[in-house]
Amino acid sequence: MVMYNRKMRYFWLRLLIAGMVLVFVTTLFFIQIVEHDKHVRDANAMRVKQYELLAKRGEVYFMDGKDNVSPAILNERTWTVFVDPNFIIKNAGSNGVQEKEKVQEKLIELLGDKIITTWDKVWADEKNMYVEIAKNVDYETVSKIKEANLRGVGRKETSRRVYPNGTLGAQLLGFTNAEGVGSGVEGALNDRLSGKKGMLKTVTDVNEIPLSVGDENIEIPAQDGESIVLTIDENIQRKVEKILKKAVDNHKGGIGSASALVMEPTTGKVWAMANYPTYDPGKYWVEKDPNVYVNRVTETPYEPASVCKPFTYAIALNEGKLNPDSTYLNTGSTKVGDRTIGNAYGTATRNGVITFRKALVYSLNTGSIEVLRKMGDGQNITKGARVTLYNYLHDSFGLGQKTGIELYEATGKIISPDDKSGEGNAVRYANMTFGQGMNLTMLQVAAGFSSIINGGNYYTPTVIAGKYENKKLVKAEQKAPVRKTISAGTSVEMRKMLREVRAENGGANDLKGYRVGVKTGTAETINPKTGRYWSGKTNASALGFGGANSDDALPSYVIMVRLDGETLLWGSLDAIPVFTEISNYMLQYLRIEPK
Amino acid sequence: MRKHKADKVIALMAIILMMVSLVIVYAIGGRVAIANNAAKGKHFSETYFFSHHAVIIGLSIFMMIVGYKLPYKYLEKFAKPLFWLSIVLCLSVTILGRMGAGIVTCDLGACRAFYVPIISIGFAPVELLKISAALYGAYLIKSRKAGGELDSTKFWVPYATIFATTAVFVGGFQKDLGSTVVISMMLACMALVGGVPFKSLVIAGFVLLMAVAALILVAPHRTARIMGWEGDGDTYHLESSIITFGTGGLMGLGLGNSIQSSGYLPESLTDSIFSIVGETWGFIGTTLVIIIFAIMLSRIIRVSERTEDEEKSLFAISVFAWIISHVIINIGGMLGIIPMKGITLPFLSYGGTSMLFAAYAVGVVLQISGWTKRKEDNEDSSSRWGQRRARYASRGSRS
Repeated sequence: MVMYNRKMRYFWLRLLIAGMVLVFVTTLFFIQIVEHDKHVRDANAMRVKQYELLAKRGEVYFMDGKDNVSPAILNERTWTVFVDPNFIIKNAGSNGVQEKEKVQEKLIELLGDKIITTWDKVWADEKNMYVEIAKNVDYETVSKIKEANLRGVGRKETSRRVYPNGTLGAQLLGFTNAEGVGSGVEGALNDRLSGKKGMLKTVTDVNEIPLSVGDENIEIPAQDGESIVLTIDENIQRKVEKILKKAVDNHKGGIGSASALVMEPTTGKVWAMANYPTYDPGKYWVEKDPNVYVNRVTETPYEPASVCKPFTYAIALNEGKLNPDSTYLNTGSTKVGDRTIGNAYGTATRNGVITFRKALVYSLNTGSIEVLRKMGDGQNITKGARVTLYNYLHDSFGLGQKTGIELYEATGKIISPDDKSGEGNAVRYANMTFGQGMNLTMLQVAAGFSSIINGGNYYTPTVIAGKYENKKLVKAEQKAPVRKTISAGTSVEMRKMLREVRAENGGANDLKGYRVGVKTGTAETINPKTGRYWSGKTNASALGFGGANSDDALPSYVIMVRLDGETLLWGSLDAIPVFTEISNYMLQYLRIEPK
Repeated sequence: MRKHKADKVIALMAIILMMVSLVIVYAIGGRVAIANNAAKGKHFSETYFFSHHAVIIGLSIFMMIVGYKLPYKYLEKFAKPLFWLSIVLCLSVTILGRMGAGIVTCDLGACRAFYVPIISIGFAPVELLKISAALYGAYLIKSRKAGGELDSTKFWVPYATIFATTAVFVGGFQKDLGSTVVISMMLACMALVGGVPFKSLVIAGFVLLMAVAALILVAPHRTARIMGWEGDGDTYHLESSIITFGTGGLMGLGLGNSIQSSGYLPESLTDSIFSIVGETWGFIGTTLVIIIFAIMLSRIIRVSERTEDEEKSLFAISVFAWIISHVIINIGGMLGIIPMKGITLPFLSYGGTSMLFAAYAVGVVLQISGWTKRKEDNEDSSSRWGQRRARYASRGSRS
């Protein structure tokens, strides 16, 4: 029998238990109590993630008639597919090559030419955890990728803007590019459309899926953008674009670009704003010439020429300085300072004594210069006459300043008689009476013109009809006119005179039983090489109104047409047919009863 | 000797640990399932781990009762064949795994368990090896001691064979150093308590060291890998384990609020479950669990101490060694005190075979505890401080 102290040996084993308890509890005390804060910090650094919550971008709608809406810009759900090379390589271990090939083959099969990168680049950096493989992937494809259950392949939902009507209203609607710089409604109304991003700070699991536990979670929900309904009527817009396209196509290269504006003179609402040539905003990047993105109606000022004569006449009438039936001697030209200003070509037959009324009908420059003289001392274009003209054009009719429409717009330019350079002289103001020597946008002219024919009320033009909420149109409040431009009596007289102009300018083609008035314009353009007014190119415009055949009714619409020529274009020859076609369409579309 | 009541404290501690385990698995099982599904492309339902674990715990309690009821004398007879059967099973699990047989599950190149399809439970033969090594070792010491051959080759050759076969088949082939260390501890404790002279134990330890040194000389790289000296440089598991303990603080985040189990902490349900205890119930929870283990272990020592039958006494001490080495290797690894080895925490870790066999072993200890030399009434009075002092004093004087 071996002799040994068994009790002592048990004691050692008990000592082992005590030692174990002592070491473990001490270590745990150190880790869990002493270093607790440090470990919480480390844990949060690893587990708490902050996400941006994307706001849904507002959609854009056209009006379709008086109460219905029709989509103009919608959102489409798409997905960005990405891979995590680090995960794939690390997880596959020695099978890294195989795993890479498997992912690569499957994605090539499913995505095909949507892949925006090369595979060499994808696998180049093993530490990389996010490489985008394809963008704007549709639901069907992304579902297949999900089914393939490829580890290390991720999907991220994004949104894409779709334009269900293709090119319709392209310049008006615009787009935002990858940098967030936009044009049209998309750009100008970006703040309202984009809403406000939210934030989610949350504890996530190892796959970055938010967990509901922990007290680090903060959620600020995103505020979705507003869905906006435009005053633009889809039907009018479509018709106007078709008419412009036809005009440009028929002229075989003579018309560089055509633009038109249709608005309601008694509210300032814009019904159509069209430009041709155009582009597809859903594929704006394929367009080579960035000029087609520009909405020429609001963004490209020009010299509108004789379509501005009604302003000169209206001002003189309103000031009590003009009797339209009085006469003056038209010699075909008139001397202003050291310059001789002539009438347009082909008006020599009108030389002689003529009423101002007829001078407007035949668009005689001498007539409108004479009207300006009447505003002064009757003989000269005095400073006083110029100040009166400037105050009306700039301050009342709003020419040469931004209208305040919700879109991007140019300021244009009118030179004040007080201009330090002395440019606001008599010669310039003589030219301004027939719409040369000042840079204006179509919208400025049409909005000012609306007040001439609507009884003298200036409305800020607008493209916003309201909001689209819960599938319902919530109409914006109709704004009151911002100012009085001329008296109601002057307005009545101006409508009458403009109808007389129309009688000699395509009035025969009007639908019977309506009142339509118009003024044409043919603008000489400055030759960029010489800096002088003769380039062999002219811009043709037509500006008019139409409505019921009644003394009580105000006109229902104002139309402005602008054709920028590559050759010589004429207001009465080229712009008037376009005006007539739009005008006759409007009379029918608005269901105005003929009398 | 008359049979008396078994040591209820041991059973109670084991069952408390099992219930804690069930509650933890209930709380984090869903999250672990989600993380596994996302990261490994699995398809676990959120209740999979809990329901599975509940079945295992039910079976474990059954195994504990079997251990308690099935008389030790039947085990005694089968000790040696059972040991060799275990070795054969360990070998076949390795061979079948290398052949790629479907009934063997392999993880990271180490094949350690058979997969039982119908009840979908893994069976790791090394757990059977632990219990049979204990039975066989206890039998060897008792019989050689009776013949006065405890320090002779008649004892040392078969005893060293138990160790050597384990080292080769479990440590070498299955790359399971953890279990090899556990079995070594069991053999060492039995030898220690069984009365192998201290000098021989030192020599055996020295021989073992020399053997390891020889291995290093012959195949340094491979040895280093098996021993776990040469890690793969991945300290993530340990770092996340420490963070898991650390975020628990004093009181813990509370049940169901574990975040680390959502995929940050590897093996949250199995090897790392003690870290989750720390995250859920904090320092208080971890300390309590350690105290529960300490109570259980010291009660097992007492059973061994008070059992007159040498073989049963040694078996009990081997169960002590079994449990304490698992606890030390697991918790020590999770706390970064020693290198991490893939080894379970008895009665807490999710996992089939380990819990079943540990429960069975404790069941056998309970059976043995019913035959200790002191009576229950004597036990009860021992809790009174004065008498306890007196008893310790008298014991001191006796030696």
